[in-house]
Amino acid sequence: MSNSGSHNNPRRNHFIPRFQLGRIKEARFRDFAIRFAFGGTISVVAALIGAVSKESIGGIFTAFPAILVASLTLIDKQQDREHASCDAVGATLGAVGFISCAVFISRTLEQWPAAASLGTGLLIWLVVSVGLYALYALVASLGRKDEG
Amino acid sequence: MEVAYYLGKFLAGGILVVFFAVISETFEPKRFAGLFSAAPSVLLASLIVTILLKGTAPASLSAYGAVAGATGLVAYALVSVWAVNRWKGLAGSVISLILWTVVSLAAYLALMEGI
Repeated sequence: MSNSGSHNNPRRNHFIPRFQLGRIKEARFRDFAIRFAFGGTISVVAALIGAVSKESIGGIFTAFPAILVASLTLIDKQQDREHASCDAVGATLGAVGFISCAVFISRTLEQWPAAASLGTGLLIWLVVSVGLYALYALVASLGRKDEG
Repeated sequence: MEVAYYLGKFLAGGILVVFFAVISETFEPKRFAGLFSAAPSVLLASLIVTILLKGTAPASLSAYGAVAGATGLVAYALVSVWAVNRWKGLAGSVISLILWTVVSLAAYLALMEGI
C-alpha cells in the first residue's frame, strides 16, 4: 500500500475510488461493535413498530439513518468535520440509490422469487449509487479544471 | 417464534451493517466510501427475516414504507453535508434527524394517497 508518492501528486484525480484492504487493519473493533449494535437495534425497533402499528410504518424505520449517525459521529471524533461532511456527500448519493432499490423491491417482491427481487434490488442500489458518484466526480473534476 | 423473529432481526441487521461498514472502510476517498453509509443493509436484513418467517406479503408492505424512509434519508444526508460542518458531528446528525422524520412521514402520507 505504498502510495505516498501519488498522495503528493497534484495531478492525481482525487475522485477515483481506491480499494485498500490494508485499511481494515487500522479500523478499531469497537467501531464495528457499535455499528453492529446500531444495526441490530434499529432492525428490532423497526420490527416492533411494524408489529404494533402497520408493517409499512415499520418499513420506514428500515431506512432510519442510525448507521449514518454512528458513522458521522465516529468520523468526527477520529478525523475532522470535513471528512464527516465528505462521507455525507457519498451518503446522499447512496440514499438516492436506496430509494430506487426500495421502489424496485416493493414492486417485485410478490411477483418474483424473493431472492431474485432482493438481489436485483441490491444491484440497482449499487448501479444507481456508483453511477451518481461517477457523474458527481465528473462535474466536480471539470469544475476544478476550470478553476486551475 | 416471536423470540426467534426478533433475535433473527437483531443478528441479521447487525451482520449486514458491519458487512457494509467493512466495505466502506476499505475504500477511499471518503465521498465514495460514504455511498456505503447509505446502503440498504437494515432493509435487506429485515426483509430476509420477514420473508423466511412470515412470507412475502408483509415484507412487501415493509418495502413500501422503506421508500418513504429512504426519501427522508436523502434529505437527512443532504443536510448533514452542511450540518456536521456547522455543529459537532453528533449534534449535526441529531438536528438532521428531525428533518428525516418530517420528510419520511410526508413521503409516507403521499405514497399511501397514491396506493
